[in-house]
Parts: sequence; C-alpha cells; structure tokens
Amino acid sequence: MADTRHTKTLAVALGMFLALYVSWQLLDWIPGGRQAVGDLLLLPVDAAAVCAAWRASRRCAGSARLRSFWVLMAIALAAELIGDVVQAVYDVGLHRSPYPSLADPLYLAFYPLLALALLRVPVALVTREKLVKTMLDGATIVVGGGAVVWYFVLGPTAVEGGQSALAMAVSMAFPVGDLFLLAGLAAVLLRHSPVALRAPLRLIAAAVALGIVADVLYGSGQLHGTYEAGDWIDTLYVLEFAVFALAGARQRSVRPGDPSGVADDAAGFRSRASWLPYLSVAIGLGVLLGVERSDSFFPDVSLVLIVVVLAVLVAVRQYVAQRDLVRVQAALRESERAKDEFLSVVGHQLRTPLTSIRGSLGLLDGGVLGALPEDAANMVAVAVLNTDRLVRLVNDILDIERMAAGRLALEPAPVDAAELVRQSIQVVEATADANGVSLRVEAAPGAEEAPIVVHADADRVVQALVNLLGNAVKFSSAGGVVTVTVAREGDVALFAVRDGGRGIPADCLESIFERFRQVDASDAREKGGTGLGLPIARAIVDQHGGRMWAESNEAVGSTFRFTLPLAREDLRRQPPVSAGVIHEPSRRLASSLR
Amino acid sequence: MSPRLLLVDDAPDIRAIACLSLERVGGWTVLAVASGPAALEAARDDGPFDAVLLDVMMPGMDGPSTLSGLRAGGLPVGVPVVFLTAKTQSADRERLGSLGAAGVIAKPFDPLTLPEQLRLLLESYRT
Repeated sequence: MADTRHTKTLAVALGMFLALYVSWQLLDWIPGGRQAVGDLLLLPVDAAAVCAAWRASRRCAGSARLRSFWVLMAIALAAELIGDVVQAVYDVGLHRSPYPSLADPLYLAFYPLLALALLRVPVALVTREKLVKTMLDGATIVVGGGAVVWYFVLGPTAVEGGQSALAMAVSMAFPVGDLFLLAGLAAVLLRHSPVALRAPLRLIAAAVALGIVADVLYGSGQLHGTYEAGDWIDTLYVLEFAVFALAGARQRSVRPGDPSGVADDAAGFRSRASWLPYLSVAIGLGVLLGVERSDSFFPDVSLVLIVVVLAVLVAVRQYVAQRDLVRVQAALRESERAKDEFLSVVGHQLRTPLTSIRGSLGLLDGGVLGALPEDAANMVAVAVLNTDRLVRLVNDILDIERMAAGRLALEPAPVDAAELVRQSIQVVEATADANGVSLRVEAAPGAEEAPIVVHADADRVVQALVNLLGNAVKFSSAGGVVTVTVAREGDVALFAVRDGGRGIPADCLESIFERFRQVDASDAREKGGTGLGLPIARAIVDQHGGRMWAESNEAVGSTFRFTLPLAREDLRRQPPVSAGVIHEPSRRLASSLR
Repeated sequence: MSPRLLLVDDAPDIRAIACLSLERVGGWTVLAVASGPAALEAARDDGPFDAVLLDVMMPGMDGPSTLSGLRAGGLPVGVPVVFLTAKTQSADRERLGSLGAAGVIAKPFDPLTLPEQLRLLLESYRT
C-alpha cells in the first residue's frame, strides 16, 4: 500500500509545518518583516497541494474523467499559488498592498476551475432535469447563505467603511464562491460519485468549508483595512491548503477497468439530504427576522428581494421536480401495464396447451374412449392429477403476481356472508367426502333473521374461503370435522375455519402466509398444494381492508380467522341483498380445489 | 332427438376433445367449425342449433365479433351462446358477459364435467 505510506508521510510533514507555522504566529521567531515571512510561508503548503493534486491525476490512469478532475484541481490550486506569489510581490517587492489587487482575480479563478473539475466527476444517471435541479439547489444555497454572510458580516463593515463597490463585490465573491463549491461538492457526494473519489471529495469539502470561514474573515479584514499578510487569519488558509494536499494524497490508484473509478449505480440515489438546500430558505427568512429585530442598516426592500428570489428558486425547483415525478409515474404506469399484459399473455399461452393435455387425459381417464389396461389407467390418473396441479399453479402464480402488483381489480358489492360460505362449501364438498371429513356451518345467533351482509367481491372471497377450507380438509384425518362460523364483531364480519388436524407450530403461524412456505416440505407433494393458497387468501382479505391470521393448538387443531367490512346495508340493518346465483362455475372455484 | 350444438374453435385438438366430451358424455349432437365466418355460414345453412360454444381468441374474426355476426343474421335471439376462453381475469369475463353471452367457460376444462358446466349455464340463462 504505497498510497497509504505516501499519505502518512505527507500528513506528518504537513503536521510539522503547521506546528512550525503556529509557533511562528505566536512567537514571531523568524527574522524579517512579519508580512514578508507570512507571504512566503503560504507558498510551501500551496505548492504541496498543487503537487498532491498533480500526483493524484497521475494515479488515475484508469479513468479519463477522474484524471481530468485532478488536473483541473491542480490548475485551480496553482491559480491560488500564483495568487499568493503575486501578493508576495506586492507586499515584499512593491511595498504596497492594494485591495482588490491583481492577486484577487487569481484567487477568484479558483472557483470556476474547481467547479469545472466537479463537472468532470463521473456521476451516474445525470439527466437534464437533475442537472437543472442541482443548479437550482446550488443557487438556493448561494442566495440563502450569501444573505447571511452579507447581512451579519460584510454588510455592516461595508456600510461603516464606505468602501468601493468593487472591494465589496470581491469580498462578497470569496465566501459566496466557497458556498457554491460546497453545494456542488454536496451534490456530487450525494449522488453516485465513484467510490475511489469519495474520501478525497470529503476532504476537499472540509477544506472548502474552512475556506468559507477564512474568506469571510479575510474579506471583512480587507474592508476594515486591518488585514495584512501574516495575519492570524492566514493560519486558516495554511490549514485549508494542507487539507487540499491531503485530499490529493488520499486519491488511490485507479487502473483501467477499475469499478471504483466509475459512477456507483449500486449505491442508489442518496436522497436523504435532498432537503438541505431548503435550509437556506429558512436561513433567508431567519435573516429577515434577525434584521427586523436589530437596527436595520439596509432598507427592507432588499430583504424582500432576497426572500422573493429564494421563493422563486424553490418554486422553480419544485416545478422541475414535479415534472420529473410525473414522467417517472408515467413510466411506472406503462411498465405496470406492460407487466399486466405480459401476465395475461403468459396465462393464455400456458393454458392453451394445458387445455389440450388436460382434455385428452380427461377423456382417457374418464373411460369415455373405452377402458384402459389397469397400469395405463393408473398412469393416466397420475397425469391428470399433476396436470390439474400445474393448472392450479399457473392460476395461483398469475393471481399472486397480480395481487403483488396491486392489479387485482375487486368488484365489491353487498353480499350475504352465509351465501359466501355456502358457495365455498359446495366447492370443497366432494374432496371432503372423499377424505371422510365432514363440513359443518355454525350459524351465528340471530343470523337467521338478520343475515350478516359484507361489502366484498363475492368471487374473490369464495376463492379465499375455498383455499382455507381446502387446507382444513387436507390436514384433517378421516372422521374429522371442519367448522365454519361467521359472526358480527363491531363493524366487521369475523369468519373462522376450524379444523381438528395436526395443528401448526407456534413459530410457523406467520410464515405459513409466505409464498411456497409449508410447515412440512413434504406437504406440497402429499397434499397437492401449490404453496400459494394462504398468501392468496390473505392478499384477498387484505385488499378488502380486512385481516387474516392463524391460531393453533397442536393438540386440538388450527383455526384460520379473517375479517371483512360489513356493508352499509348491514350497518343500517336493512334487508340484505342476496348474493345471487353465480352464472357460471367460475374457473377459480373449479380450479382452487382439484 | 339430442340437442344440437355449434362449436367454434380454431384449435383442431380442442375441437376434437370438446366434441368427444359433449357428444359422448353430454349427449349433444355437435357441429364443429374452425372460424368465425364458418360459424356464420353454419348458423345460416345448418341450423337450427340449441346452443353455441364459442372460442374467444381466434385469428381474423374473434369470438365477440363472431357473436355479433351470429346475432345479426341466422341465429335466433333465444339461442344461448357460451364463450370458451383461456383468459380468465374477472374483467375479461365481465366484458364477455356484457356482450350478451349466457356465460363463460374457462380453459382448461375437464372434459368429464364440461357438459355439466354447459348445462348449468344454459339452465340459469333460461330462468
């Protein structure tokens, strides 16, 4: 890990230099004018930052964009270095220190150069909308943060000092430029920035944050005429550039094809901090209040202007975001529609050959085409059984896919709960008889005079009930009894299917509602279930706004309960509407049970 | 005389299976045709029929348009038409029901119970 050793060596060197610098700040032990020494002491740390950035660019051979990021970074830092050299020439060579001077354009050049560098960072999925949003967010931060800097720090001194507009503008430009960069850095860090660049980017952000403090003090000092090179404020600059140098050193090698050098899609969009720009709106308003309370040195109209600008920025940003959202929603709807269409086609495509297979086998199995030899008849019976299971599986999978997508269209209507039970019993009766299990319906007291009317999709509730009843029958031994009850419970109807089977272990009471989850793995084979009956039943009840759960005592058996909303008719105690006759033996009913 | 049924389905194996089932198990006399136009022709020339069993997804003229063609000419209003379909979403069935069909039978069907399913549908249609 040569990179790490370099970083450590550099950190130690920078630390020692910093100690030297602070000791000089305190004790002034270096001979020569304070101003001249102050100017010259800035240069080594500037140079270290430039070198570190340049070396980082050499290490990023594997990614053209990362390389150009570091090259631009090195140029930006070099602009600062040259600025400091020019300042030194003013101070030491010319013995005069104008403000603003020729050094300031070089200092200011740092901002656009670093912004350009940031634009070179590979960020995944950059759409025009995102770019616009990011820029609006940046503008919001700059206006909000700029307002604070101006009103509390620079404004008062500027008004007192009666400085030139240029001097005020330059003093303002530094912290606002830093803020803008910080916003850009945050935007890049919050998106899919490459893994390899994260640590350096964080350090750069820390350096820029230090720069804000330094620049505010520097600008204010210049306006007051109190700043000169070698001032203690310079310690902050030394620190800032030391951190820049560390950032360059922290860049690890990126070879061609290295995934850490490209935008990190897998990280997902990190939107947790996307509210941050709006903090500056609050800050802007805070400024308004703060100034209102103190003695205002500026006419209110400029405050109003800032608030208006902030509000407009936020409004435009919301508009862009909203448009983006609408586009995403439309795409989502389209993909849902496509999935629906796909499921429908898959269903049709699978059922068509199954119809031929099931039909032919059924005719053979039923002896319609004449008696088969015993072995052949057995084989055909096996084929029929498994074709039925396959058909059920296809139907159940399609059902559960639709339910998962929330695409199950319910057609709820007032329906007599007893009628739903009756229809369900009808479907499972044959299987129950074959297994020697008796089905019993226990009427709720008073149900005879006032039937319980639920607001539900009759077909779907029957499907759910048939799934529960089918399970109860399958897990009952011969001679067992399965009991169905319905009762009013407040404003819902409570259905219960009770069996005297082997029961369900307590730790499985919830997991049995998961797809393809059976208490005993052999159940699927022996009982012919699809492993989807309970999840489907629960999904149906859920979609009605009801709840389904299981209770079990391994000695006594299991009870499955679910609730359905009562119809308004029931709540008003009006005569119930009959469930009516189903016009056709529904596919779901016919296939839910073999 | 056994009741006469017009069966319309483009798949030859389904026609064969349904014919065997309806004739041998259900006791119908079945005339099976492979397309909508053939069904219109049969309704005009080979009638009368007591019921029509009509596949929904057919190339060219599909089930619903065959139904309206049948109603427009040849097939008396009282003759029930039942759809046969592998599309079984309730929205699909609802749409088919609204076309004036007596009912919908889902594919795959059990050939042993197909005649019974058909009988139940026709019974409830008459009442």
